[in-house]
Amino acid sequence: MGTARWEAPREFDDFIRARHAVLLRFAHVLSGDPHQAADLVQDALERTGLAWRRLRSDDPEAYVRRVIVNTYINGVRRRRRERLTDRPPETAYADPQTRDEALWRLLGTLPRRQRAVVVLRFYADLSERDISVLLGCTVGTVKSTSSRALAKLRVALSQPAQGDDGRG
Amino acid sequence: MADLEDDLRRVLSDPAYALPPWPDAVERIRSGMRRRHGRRLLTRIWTGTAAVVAVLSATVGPSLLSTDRSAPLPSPEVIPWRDLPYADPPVPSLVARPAATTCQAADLRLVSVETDGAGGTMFHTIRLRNDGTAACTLPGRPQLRGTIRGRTRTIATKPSNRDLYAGTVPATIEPDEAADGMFETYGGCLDGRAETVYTAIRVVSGDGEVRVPGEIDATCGVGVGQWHRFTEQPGEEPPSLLVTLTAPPTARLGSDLSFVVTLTNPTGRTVALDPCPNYMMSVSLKIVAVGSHQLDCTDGQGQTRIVAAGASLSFAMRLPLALGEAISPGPGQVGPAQLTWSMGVTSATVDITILA
Repeated sequence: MGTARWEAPREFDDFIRARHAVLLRFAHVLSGDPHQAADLVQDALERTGLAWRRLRSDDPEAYVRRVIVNTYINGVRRRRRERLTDRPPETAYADPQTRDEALWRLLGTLPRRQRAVVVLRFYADLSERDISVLLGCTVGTVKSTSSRALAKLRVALSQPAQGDDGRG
Repeated sequence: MADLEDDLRRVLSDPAYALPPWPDAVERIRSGMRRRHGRRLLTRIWTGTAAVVAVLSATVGPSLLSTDRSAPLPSPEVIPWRDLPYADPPVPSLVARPAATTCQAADLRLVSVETDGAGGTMFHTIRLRNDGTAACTLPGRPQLRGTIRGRTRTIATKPSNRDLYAGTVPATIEPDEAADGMFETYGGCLDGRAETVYTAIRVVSGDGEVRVPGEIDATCGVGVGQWHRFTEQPGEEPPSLLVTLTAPPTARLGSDLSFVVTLTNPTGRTVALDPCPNYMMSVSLKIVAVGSHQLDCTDGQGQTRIVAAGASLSFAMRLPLALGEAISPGPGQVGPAQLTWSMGVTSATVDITILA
């Protein structure tokens, strides 16, 4: 086998076409940011393509998700890119109108590892054991991380809305 | 508790958080892979030849992206377009060699260490060459040693089995041949364990050790694959050919874009198109047209085409500019676009305009 082949075969192109939108959505609910989601998927698919020959006997989509999750968790030190946009900020300054909007916003306040566990559990529907394998930690750690995340969300949801400046 | 969990499931699966698919997904990823591969080539550790690699990269790199507006469109000298499907490169047929005496560290020379892979899982490939005078074998899996907290220790590993070409194990290598050993490190373990990072890495072989640059983060474990004989990978593009594109300045949506690719051999030796490489071509705008094919590597007599030293070979190309099934029609279908043609790490891009 030797080194990774960067020249992935055509089946990798098919994989990209078939799965990138699903992966974008996964990365979006994981990161809460559409631009970061695009970066995560781009990065993960490039790495997957380079390692494709080694991976094709495995589950490549699981590999991509693992790359996305680990890159997201380890991404604190990554240099942030500035982006120019003609659109105003979408949700950063908006008061949540519903419990769902509030919950989405609160997810963004969780530490990355906690948010990753929540997304893997309640979006990807993985078992605690599968999450522990994906994250390389024990089931007990997954349980405690999930428990802390849910507790934090529950407390936050029970608080009166913060930052009400009387605009509304 | 159940309410919150239900709420999370509902919120996270809300279709509002779906993102639009990329119309140019394949080209977008392939382009990134080419850039990443280029960076890897530049950062590859070639013991004793780093300066040579740097000079080559600096001088050859820019010339790979040449375009030519003035060259003629397809002429009788141009090899006609043939719609040859992409073909997976052949797997080499290798005969397993018997085990020889174990390679001694003094006879081994580090050729390279390559690293790639995921943010969590990283693959590291160590390549050692037999600089001795007789065949020898690197048995089993790499045994790694490193220094941590001032002490040199054997790094605990577990077996990791990956796809190897048949016949490359045991890693019996003749003089000047090389063997690869791969190990993996993992990330993302969240149980608060202390970091375990080894420095001053060595590969143990025979009665000695070969020093390897870098460090190993063994916090989440280390997996090692078998030593195996290094084999040139099939299907890589002829490494020395330069690409020139000759394309019309405009093309009409719904028609075929015809253009010419010229492969030039700048070296002093003949390059045969064997194994026959694949290539990819694409037009990216808000629509995308993509074609992946195998090059027409044989002439009418079934002979493998060659590119003689200093000579060129031109191939007619055809890329339908029809909308892909998954692409919605819209106002962005026409306008300035880029035509890209790539064969392995060699590629060229030219601007064109898509007309309605």
